[in-house]
Amino acid sequence: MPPLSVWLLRGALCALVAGSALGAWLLAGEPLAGALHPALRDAHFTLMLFGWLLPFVVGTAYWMLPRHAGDAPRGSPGRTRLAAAAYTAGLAIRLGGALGGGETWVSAGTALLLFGTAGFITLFWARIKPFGAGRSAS
Amino acid sequence: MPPLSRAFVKAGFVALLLGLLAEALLARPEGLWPGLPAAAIRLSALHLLTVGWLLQVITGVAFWMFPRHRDHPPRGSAAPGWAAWGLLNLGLLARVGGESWHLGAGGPRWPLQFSALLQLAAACCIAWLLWPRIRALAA
Repeated sequence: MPPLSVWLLRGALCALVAGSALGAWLLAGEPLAGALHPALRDAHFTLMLFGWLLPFVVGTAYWMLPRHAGDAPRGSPGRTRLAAAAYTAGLAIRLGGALGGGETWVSAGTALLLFGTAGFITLFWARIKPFGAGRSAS
Repeated sequence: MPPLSRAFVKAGFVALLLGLLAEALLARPEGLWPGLPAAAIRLSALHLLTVGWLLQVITGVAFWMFPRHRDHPPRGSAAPGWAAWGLLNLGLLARVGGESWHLGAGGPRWPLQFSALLQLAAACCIAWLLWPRIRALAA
């Protein structure tokens, strides 16, 4: 498993526990009509979808999809780093926006999440191919 | 596929069917279960699909396919996984029943609080189960 996948998957498990803790608090302690409810619900949604589910899927795909022949078997390291950095920053900014930073921060975070996710998709696109395809070319 | 993975994937598919059934209930005729509010059904359906289906199928497949240990047992102890399976499904049942009772008939909050505790404990058990298997493979 490459280091990026280890990092993404372990981060996803941390987000799962944090998001579940927030969800448990919403379910058990926070009144539905409480003033904090919408912000906490948005943070719970952000942690469970963009913190847990998506990084877990992306980390597993980065590890398991068919690799290229040559020096960069999982695609350009520079583009990978850029996608991972944009995604992580987007998650943090969106979470901060949900917890009180405001709509502007949520939108900025979502834009970075979109940029990071699109980066990962472009990396994966070329790796969605039959196993062994392109390996004998070089 | 190990028994724990089979249990997670099968329970996930049952939750998927129940979640879709709950979604279908949103379009029920007006006279059918009038006391059951749409909010309770929608929340139950959402959590059956995300926690019941996605989380359980992902956990089951990850336990099956993630890098194995060289020493015995190759997938590590399944005990936290079985604990997670029981806690998660009991928590989901308590949530679906508790939400309908609370929002539909003014029932108490304790089934929801019980469910919250169970699901949080299940998430911790899943992290405990999978964490040691997420590692760089030795060359």
